[in-house]
Amino acid sequence: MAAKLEGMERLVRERERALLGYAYVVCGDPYLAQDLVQDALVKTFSRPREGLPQVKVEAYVRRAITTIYVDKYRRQQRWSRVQHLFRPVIVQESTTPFSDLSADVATALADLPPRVRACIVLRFFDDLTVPDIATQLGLAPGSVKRYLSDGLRALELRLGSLDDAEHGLREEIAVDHQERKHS
Amino acid sequence: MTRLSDSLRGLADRAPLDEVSVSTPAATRRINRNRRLHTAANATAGLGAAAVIALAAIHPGMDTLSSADSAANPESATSGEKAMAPGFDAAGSSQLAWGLCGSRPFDYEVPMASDTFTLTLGEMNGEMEPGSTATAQLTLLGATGADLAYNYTAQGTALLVLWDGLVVGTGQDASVVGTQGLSDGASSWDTPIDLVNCWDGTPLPGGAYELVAYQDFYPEATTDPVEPTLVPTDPTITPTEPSPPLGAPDEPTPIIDAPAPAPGEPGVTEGGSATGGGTSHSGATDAVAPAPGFVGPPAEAPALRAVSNHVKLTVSGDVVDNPFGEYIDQPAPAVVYPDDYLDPATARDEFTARAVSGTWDMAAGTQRVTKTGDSLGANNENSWLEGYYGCSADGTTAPDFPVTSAEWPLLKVDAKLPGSVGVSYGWVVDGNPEVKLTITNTSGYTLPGFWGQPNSMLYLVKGGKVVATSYLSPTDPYGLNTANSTDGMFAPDGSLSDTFLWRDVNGCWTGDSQSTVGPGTYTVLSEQDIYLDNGSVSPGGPIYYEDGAKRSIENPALGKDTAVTSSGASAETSIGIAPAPNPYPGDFEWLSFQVWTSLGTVTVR
Repeated sequence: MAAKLEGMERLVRERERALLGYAYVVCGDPYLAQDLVQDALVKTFSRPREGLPQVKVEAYVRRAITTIYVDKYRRQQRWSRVQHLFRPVIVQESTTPFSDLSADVATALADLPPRVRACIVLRFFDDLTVPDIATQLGLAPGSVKRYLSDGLRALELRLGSLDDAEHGLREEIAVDHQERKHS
Repeated sequence: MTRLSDSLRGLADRAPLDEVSVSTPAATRRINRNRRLHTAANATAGLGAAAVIALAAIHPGMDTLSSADSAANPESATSGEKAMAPGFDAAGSSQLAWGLCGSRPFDYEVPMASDTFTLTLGEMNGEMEPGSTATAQLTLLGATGADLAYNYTAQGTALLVLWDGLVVGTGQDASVVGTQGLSDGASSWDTPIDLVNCWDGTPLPGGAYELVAYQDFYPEATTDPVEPTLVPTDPTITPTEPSPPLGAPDEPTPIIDAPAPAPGEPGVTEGGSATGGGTSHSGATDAVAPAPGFVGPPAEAPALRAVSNHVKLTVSGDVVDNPFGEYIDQPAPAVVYPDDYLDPATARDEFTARAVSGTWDMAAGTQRVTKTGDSLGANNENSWLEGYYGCSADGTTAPDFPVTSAEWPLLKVDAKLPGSVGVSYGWVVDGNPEVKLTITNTSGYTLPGFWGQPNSMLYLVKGGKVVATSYLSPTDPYGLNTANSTDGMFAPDGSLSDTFLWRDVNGCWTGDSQSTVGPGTYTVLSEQDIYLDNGSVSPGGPIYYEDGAKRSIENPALGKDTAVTSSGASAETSIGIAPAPNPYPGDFEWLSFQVWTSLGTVTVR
């Protein structure tokens, strides 16, 4: 156990910013990102994953971030059907300062429903294949394709034509085989 | 044209995260609790609690508060720590991890417990059949608007079946919470719960149980009406027209249609229309699409948890002894190491015999071993720095390679790296460079901790200093197609090989800024961790350290008066897991190494 939690501390020490950044891309809110990472760590390390290599730990935590986020959405959706009957939905100005074109992407992503957003992130950030995304999110591959297609269409309306949109709808990821032998 | 992948990575790189951080002490405490009584906790219950269902309508007439009002709340965020998420429990039990399967949630003070909302569970009369579905009758009473400092959103109600205080069954409210009665601040509803255990879904055996429900309430986002404005406000960015207020009845929805529901998601329908029981309002989903520029709740607002009364639940059938022993009383498997296992004592001697001092030139193909931890060492809070090599440990200065290391050919590392890579926002771009890694055990000993894939991390070095790190991404990230070892033992002359994608290059952080990995040639080091122990376990069981004091995971009261600093913990971390030192009897020893191998150079374009 000692090695395992030292592994968590090391992961956080070295990858905290990357994990938070990833969670932020997934959810769009820094505080929720913090909770997602925290809970993803607990989820990952609470299970006795003996022998989980360090190299896989981050993959597990990232997976947990997306599944926790989507799981939360599934439940929230129940309320969402009637929420508007009880209170007005208010759009509030963000106090989050952005200093670059990331804001355009953040704004465009914010318009996507959570599952669509998760699919977009897993495809274009994590380079997961459509079947892998389906497995991770518990969706049918056809649903993932539909989400990706719809998500890309919505993003292109905001961001203009995307270079890698077509690539994103392919089944497999591209791999650059350029390499050099080291030993 | 824009590459979406680059844009997403740029967004992650520049996300506004200055005020948030991850608390490893808090996570460690939660993990310790989760591990305490079960080895395979069903995380579903915890995840289920993640759902947030807006319930602000309980008090439709309630005034909202400004941020200044919020700041005045006495239950402000924990001081001395960076800002935590709203409702985050700095003590370690955040809102999402309480009531896990196999835990004893009432052995401790219930986190976030509050009587602001009253949740009442009706009595369960008669005996229930094992595996049947019981119906819990719930009533929620809210405090009056005058008593509340915030609007709250509420989670779907969670149900726990307790056996002798142990969570053995869980359920999640599957309907919208009491919408019909919210206008007067009270609501009643029925929630079914399957009487099956939460580990593998088998019917609960006969016996006497308790049923309890809880619901979490979160302070809602600031809701002072404001006019939609341009987001972002940076003047260098082309303004984007704001979306109309979401949910406006006559406005077209700005979000795309939702695809067909996925299997296993009842009630999720195309376009967000409602199905099933309860009120049906088609198109309502559109009203709550994530709002651009949405601002979260004030960080200082407390979250609340309403816990119901406990009611008796009787399941018919024969009562068996220790009905859940197979799930919670799994004995730790005996540790049997092979004869040629590299034990800590031997490793310590080998390291000493092969130790060299001086600068390592990091020529391609050369290797050094550093010792990063030793049970016989001082093991104070700074011990880990002695053999540390990597990005700056103190945020100011990147360390040199340790003066003392060992020329000890523990592992042969072969790697096929790309000759050059493009880097943008910390990500390798222009394709996914493939890295094939093969490691061979050349130590002559069996090494532990190798479970089927090389477990290496890459470091980019310039001038002897680490400037960036990189985790390689397995092409089989979840090991679905990898033959995993059952014991993690890596026999002499054995090899492990796998193919990875080199996807990220994370510049080291100095102070508040992250270094940019600019064009140039860098030495690439592969680093592999090796952790050795002798398999002995203290009779006191595993322990952890909290605020410098020793705690037993099995018995938190044990050793409370023994102040011992943790080993391997960072300077800002006061909690860590470590083998039990004296006065615990036993002979537990451990030793940790890092094996550094130079893979040559790579050119960053």
